[in-house]
Amino acid sequence: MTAAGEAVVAEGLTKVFGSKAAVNALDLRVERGEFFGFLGPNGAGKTTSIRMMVGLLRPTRGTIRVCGYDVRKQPIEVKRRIGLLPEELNLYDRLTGREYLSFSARMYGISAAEADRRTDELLDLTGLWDDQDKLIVEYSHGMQKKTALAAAILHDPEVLFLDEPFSGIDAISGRAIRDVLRTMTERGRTIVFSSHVLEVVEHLCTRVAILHRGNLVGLGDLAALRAKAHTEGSLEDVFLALVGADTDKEGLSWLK
Amino acid sequence: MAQVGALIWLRFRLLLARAGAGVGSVVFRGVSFLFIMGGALSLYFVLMVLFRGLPAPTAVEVLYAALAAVWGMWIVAPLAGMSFDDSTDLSKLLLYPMTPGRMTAGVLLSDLVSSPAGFTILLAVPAGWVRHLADAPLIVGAIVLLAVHMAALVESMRIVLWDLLRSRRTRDLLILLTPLLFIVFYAVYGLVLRGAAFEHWARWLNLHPSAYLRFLPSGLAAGAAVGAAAASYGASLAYLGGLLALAAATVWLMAVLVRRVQAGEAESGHATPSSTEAGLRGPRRRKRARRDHARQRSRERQDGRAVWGPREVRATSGEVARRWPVSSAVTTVARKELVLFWRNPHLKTQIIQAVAFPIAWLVFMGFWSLGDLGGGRMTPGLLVAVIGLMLFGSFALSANSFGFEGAAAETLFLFPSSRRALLAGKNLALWAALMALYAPALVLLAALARQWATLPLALIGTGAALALELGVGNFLAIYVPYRLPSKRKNPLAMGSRGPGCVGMVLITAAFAGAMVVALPAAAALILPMALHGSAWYWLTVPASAAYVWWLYRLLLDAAAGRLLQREPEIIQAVGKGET
Repeated sequence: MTAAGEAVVAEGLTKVFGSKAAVNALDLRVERGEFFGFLGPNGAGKTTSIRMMVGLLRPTRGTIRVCGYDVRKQPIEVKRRIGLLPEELNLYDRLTGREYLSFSARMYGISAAEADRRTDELLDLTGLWDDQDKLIVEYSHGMQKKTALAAAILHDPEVLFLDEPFSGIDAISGRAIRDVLRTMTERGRTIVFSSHVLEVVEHLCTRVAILHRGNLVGLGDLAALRAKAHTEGSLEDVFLALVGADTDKEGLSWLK
Repeated sequence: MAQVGALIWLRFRLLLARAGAGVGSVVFRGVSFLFIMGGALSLYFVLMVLFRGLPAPTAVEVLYAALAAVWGMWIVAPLAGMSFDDSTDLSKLLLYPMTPGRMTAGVLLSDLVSSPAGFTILLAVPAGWVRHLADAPLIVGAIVLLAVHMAALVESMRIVLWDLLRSRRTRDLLILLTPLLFIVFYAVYGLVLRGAAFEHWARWLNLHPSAYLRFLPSGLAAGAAVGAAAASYGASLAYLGGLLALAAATVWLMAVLVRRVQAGEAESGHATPSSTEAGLRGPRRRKRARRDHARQRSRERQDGRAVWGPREVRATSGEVARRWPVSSAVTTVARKELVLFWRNPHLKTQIIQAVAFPIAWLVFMGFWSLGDLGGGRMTPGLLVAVIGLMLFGSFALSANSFGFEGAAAETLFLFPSSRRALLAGKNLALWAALMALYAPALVLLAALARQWATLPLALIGTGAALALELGVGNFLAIYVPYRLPSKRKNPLAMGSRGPGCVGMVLITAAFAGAMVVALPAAAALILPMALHGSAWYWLTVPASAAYVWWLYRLLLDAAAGRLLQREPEIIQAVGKGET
């Protein structure tokens, strides 16, 4: 059993697609109440890691425990305690926004009255109130993202996994959602968060893991990462140093 | 000229791109092309033979009818296609420095050269009506002008009707109509096989439809051809002049619309969603008004506090899950499934097909002719065969519960509900949806066969067999899942992955297995009939129901135990990015 303070523990987590290791022997511990960030360039293995952590993708090797439960052996206990906002939204798009949230609430066993109350508040918070009776298929991408996010936090999960949560979301809703996420971590909820937007990660996350080509190349708070990268710059400088990005590339010949 | 050439290249590239990259897709596209061109060539020869072989008055009627049909199809088919494929949308070309004239010419030529099947059918007119060399320019000219007019008209309608054609409702309607058109095709095919079609056509042609069809643009082309063939060159030229004026007017209209699109005065592409209030009707609007009122009161009560915050959430997911019985998950899933069956045209189509095709196939493809339907020749054995075919038709759905989840399977499997409840909810919804269609179908068949006495038993037997079919099908849904057509797919496109050869064998074997395990239930229903002792039903019907209930639960428990471990593989098989 995992220590009571650990929300997510991954040990030797590996996923191989064909001959390519998308995630390679990832060892990770996320404490309860942490706002934990996953960083990495495209194809680094962030989404694959998150999908394995929530049980949607079977690891090739390694184990994952969420809130002390083995994702492989006790999946229902894990699912009861987590919420997920996936990068690719997989909503029932022939339901209305309200119907989708009510359905999600009922699937988590929330009573009808409570589900209505939470749905109302979430629709209001995300700015979807006026469009609640439209089918999701008619929503813009941003509206669909907000619906998915509302469904992910509706049951007040102990660990919330967010894969690129702010892409396509307007500034007003983004601010409101960030406030909600902060409050959740203050109440001891854990948030595991992946993003390409380094400023957001820098502002929100207490610790960050940097993945590159499936390998963990950096882990810790900003100070620890700066020390590892031998730089005093921003998270962007740290990130570029750790993933070894080639910043000396020459520009396009015909633009000179 | 380079821009016009580029547009023609683009059209062919887009046509080929739809084939996909795989060898199988290319082969399928090639076979489809041959099939379509084979059909067009068949029509070409049939029409040519009719034009040359029929007595002159009848041949004229056939010409008017054929050209009117081609005119209608040439317009309707691309407009319907636009609902599913916006690759030919003009707004994609607006960024390029192209004059309206060049864009009009390029798009028109692209349309014309990418319609070989339509031209093949149209060529039957010169082949059938050119009697002398002097007729040829008039008749070919008429056909070319008709084609230019049709292409320009289609493009103009695409621009004007963009919002309507690209709306979800139009797309849904077309998805639903497609299988119905196939069923009509079966019916017509059956009629043709019996020769009844020719009799009806001859009767219809005697009504001289040309008197009405000559007012269509196709009528001008037909008039020009008939005039030329009869050596009435004056009349032919008059018709041709009319057609030329019409074609020029249509092309001018298209050019004006293209100019307006380029100037941003007309909408093409990126249909703007209707306003929220306009999109809501009747009950939804009233429900919204009630909720708005409740929200206002709630805000007043909160007296300035933040509207939402996690501190408001009292029950954690674990606590509430323990308070609620499992059955709520069953009903929640079943309700969700039924809503999606009703709203998703693909699912509706699959379910209707499962019931309608076996009946259409039996009626029109051989078991008995139309005239016998009311003659009471449908035996109880045939009734059982129809039930069996309907159940087999629906087995592709029963055995693929997660196939129509698509990528949303990921969402479903994230919920902490018991997997038994998920399966039971899905089974319950599909059972209810199918029985809602089976029941009227069985009533219809019983009426035709005058077998009213067996109707209750047929209904009970079908319900019982369907329950066992679902119980067995759950295993295939877990071990051989495959994606059913997604919402964005063209209903005629073959982009979805099927179960494969092995999967089909397994499905057939599993269906046979389901029918075998249903035998005791069927025997319990049939036995009293054989013994002529209806009193036995009081014993055998409950016994049959109890057997089915027991076996279904056994199968459900066994399948549920396996589902949890197979979820990642199911997501992989049915997801593939499409919701």
